[in-house]
Amino acid sequence: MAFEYVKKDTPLDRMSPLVKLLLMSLALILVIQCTKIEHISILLIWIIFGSLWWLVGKVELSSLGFILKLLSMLFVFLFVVQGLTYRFGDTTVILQLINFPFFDDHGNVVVNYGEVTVGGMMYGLLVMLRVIAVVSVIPIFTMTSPMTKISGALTKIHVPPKIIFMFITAMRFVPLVQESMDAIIEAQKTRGFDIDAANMYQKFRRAYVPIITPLLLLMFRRAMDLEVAINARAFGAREDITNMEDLSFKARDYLGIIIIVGIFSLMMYLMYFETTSITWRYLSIIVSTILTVMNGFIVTTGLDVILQNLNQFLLSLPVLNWIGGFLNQNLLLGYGAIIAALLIVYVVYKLIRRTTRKKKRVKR
Amino acid sequence: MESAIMNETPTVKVDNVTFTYERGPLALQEISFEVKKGEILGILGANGVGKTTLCFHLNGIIPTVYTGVEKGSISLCGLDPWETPIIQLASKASMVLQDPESQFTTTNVESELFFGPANLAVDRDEILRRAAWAAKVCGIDGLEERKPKELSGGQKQRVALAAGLTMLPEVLILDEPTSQLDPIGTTEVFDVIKQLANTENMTIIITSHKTDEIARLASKVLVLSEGSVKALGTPREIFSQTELLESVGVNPPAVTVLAARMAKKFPGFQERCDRIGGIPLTVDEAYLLLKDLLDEGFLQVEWKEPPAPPPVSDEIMLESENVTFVYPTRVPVTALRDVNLTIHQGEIVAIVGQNGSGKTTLVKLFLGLLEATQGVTKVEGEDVAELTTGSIAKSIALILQNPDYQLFCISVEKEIEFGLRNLGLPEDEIARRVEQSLEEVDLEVLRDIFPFRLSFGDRRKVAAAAGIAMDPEILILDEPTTAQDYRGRHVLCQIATRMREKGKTIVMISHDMDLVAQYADRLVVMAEGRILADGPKREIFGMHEVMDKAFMKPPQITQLSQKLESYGIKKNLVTVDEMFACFKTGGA
Repeated sequence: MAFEYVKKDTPLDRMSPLVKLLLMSLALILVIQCTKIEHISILLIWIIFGSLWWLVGKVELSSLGFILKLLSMLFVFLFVVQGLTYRFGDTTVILQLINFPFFDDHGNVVVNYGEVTVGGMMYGLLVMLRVIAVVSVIPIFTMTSPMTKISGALTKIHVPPKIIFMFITAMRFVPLVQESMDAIIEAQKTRGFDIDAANMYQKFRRAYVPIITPLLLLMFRRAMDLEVAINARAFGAREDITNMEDLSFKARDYLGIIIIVGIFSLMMYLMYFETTSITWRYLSIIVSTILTVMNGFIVTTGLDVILQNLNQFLLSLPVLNWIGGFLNQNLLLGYGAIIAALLIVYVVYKLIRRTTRKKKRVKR
Repeated sequence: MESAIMNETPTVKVDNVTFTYERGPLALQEISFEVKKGEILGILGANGVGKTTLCFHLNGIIPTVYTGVEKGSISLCGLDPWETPIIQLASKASMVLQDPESQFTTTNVESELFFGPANLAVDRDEILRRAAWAAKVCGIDGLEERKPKELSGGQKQRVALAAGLTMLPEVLILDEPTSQLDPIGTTEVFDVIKQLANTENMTIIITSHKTDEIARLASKVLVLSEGSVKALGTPREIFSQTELLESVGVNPPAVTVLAARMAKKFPGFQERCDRIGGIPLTVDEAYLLLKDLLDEGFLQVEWKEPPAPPPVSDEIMLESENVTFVYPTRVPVTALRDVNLTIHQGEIVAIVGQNGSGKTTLVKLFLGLLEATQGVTKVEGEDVAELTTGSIAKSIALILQNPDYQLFCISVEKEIEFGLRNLGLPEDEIARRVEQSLEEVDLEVLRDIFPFRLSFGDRRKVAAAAGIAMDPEILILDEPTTAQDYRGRHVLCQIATRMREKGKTIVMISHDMDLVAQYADRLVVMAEGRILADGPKREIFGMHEVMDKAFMKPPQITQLSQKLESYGIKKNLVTVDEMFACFKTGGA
């Protein structure tokens, strides 16, 4: 499991889970308020702050990679949908996918939902950063707090034991489901049922039945056994169960709270009281400086001419001119064919990798 | 003074209890027994005779979780489980369930030990003290931080026992507490139980199929058959009735069976048994008795060579060359180190060793479920790494420890068809093979039943039938004895033996030494990912160092034959039959 607690002797490890819970809830409160494109700068500051926690807690970066990989399709979707539909901010068109205009009573084009705009892409970026800002603090909570401490902390803030137990059972069942599922897949493989060899269509049509059915039945049985087990051990006998963890607040916990609340207050100040959007201005300056420098570099080295020529050359190729020509419009003008070529190379690379993966042969 | 009073009123009193599950069959019928403080009651019986139901009665699981119609009365420490809330009973009677996996309620060992007493709001320091004590007693100290998935089956079972102990109950109810433990581990746990009864004056009720341990420890034994009491008495009284026990699916200790058979054959033997206090139950008792009788000349040893294993063909079925396997987890675990093994056609090979010694990993490599980190594994001469798992399934069938991992169809018949369809066989061939395998495991009458409605033993048979139907050259049995009664554990092995007669190769993974001794020809002993010894079973059983290292214990008869070596028992014998054949009346 990517989010499981691993004992590491870091300050974050020793910190009360309540502090980390506070961090999580504040992250949530923050992103709810980030609705404008200017807030990208605030989210970036928050994410940098969040990654400092990762460093302090020595949480593996691979688990963040795992989350981002899971969410990557969502991000692509966000960019496309927002790019096509968001019509505030910079309305410069990057690419016209299709022509899908809406007219007013006089026959003038009000909006064209076939166009990806710069403003839309930036809004997509904002939504993506909102997701990352929340998601990136979750591992800080789950990977640095043992379950016993979490349940102890929840007891301390008077969450009813039954709800805590539900939470713990869920955490206990997740790896159990995973393990059982692996065991079931292995068992079915030994019966000649090769899910890895099946194609997508076969997988959807019939492949999951032999795995999901025993899994569900097994889990029902496990749940029943668990009920017997907790009853046999006096669960729910009393409200005031003994708390085994020492959860008194230490200096580091207070320090943690001060830092978290301090940063959060700063964010709030920047959002509501700092009317000149200073962070956004600085971000714009940084980004535009980088762009100018890059542009200057390209122009002085003559790279732009080379790229333009390459683009022209690609456009003259028989198949590429079809896709490249389509992409070679609006903001992409002059580079469309290169982008198309890169896309094609990527797709071909994926296909080749799939087909050249070590094929197993059939016995005898 | 107090104990004197307690001795008069039994801690557990079950009076004429009859119970029927709601919408279910009659589970218990007119059960009556008493257990006094500090006594150990062993409950024996085949699977499905109501042992677990009886246990559930004592700590209030019935009627709180499962309900039904009840007659009769139960008293436990003066409380009536039908009137007292289960949570109040839980402080008096603690129960350890069969399956150690599903009763793990929390996320690590330490919190598991705290869970029970914390629910009862016991003082924090007291809980810490109890947890430390229970962990030490059960041999799991040092594992406090482990998560359930980092524990072996045997360790989980010890944790479950320790978690029951931290409740500091007056009555401890144990349902099959050692089903997943190796022989040495089993003996250790039973010693702990004995110690608890003696020093803590705990009353213990235990169900188990391990009769040699029950015989050693229990103060009383109750035999159940089809929900009613077949016999109740001291271990010696009960186990001397070997025929009755075998008729209800309970196997008495091997030495007891031997003595009972000798008593029938040799007039006067029974009297000699009675003179030393009854029929022998342990190896030592049997040895002392036989030694006296041999010294006196009452008996004589006439060496009979045990049957040699059938000849093995040269054809290699499974082969591993210098195989090393490392699990690529966060902390890599080396499960196999430089393993070399060759299995020939027609052999019955048993791979034995403690939990976590690499037995299952090795089997998974042969099945192509895992790929060796180093070295080559071959099935019928072909490199497994190049083969699809689907095509390996044609050659090897695996019968799992837990059939619930693979059963999913709506009928037994469909279940068997599944694998055959995966092989893409024609319909008439499928029908023929289904018929044949149903016959093989004797499940023809249950062909239309939903497998989940069958008993555990029958579910395993369905899984076995599904494996056999694939017509494999190699059959692998994974722990054929877990949670199986005396009959159940033999059924699978007998099927395997019949398959061998047809020229198939059998590999079994087990730590049930009696079973291994009876059915296998060759033993492969594993420990810590290495093969410690590999050879004919009689030789392996003689290697004390290897056996100790692998936490194995030779079967009772083998132990006895080793002790009697100076009297002319030339080789390690493994079954009662072999041993019995070596004795004749003396004086002649």
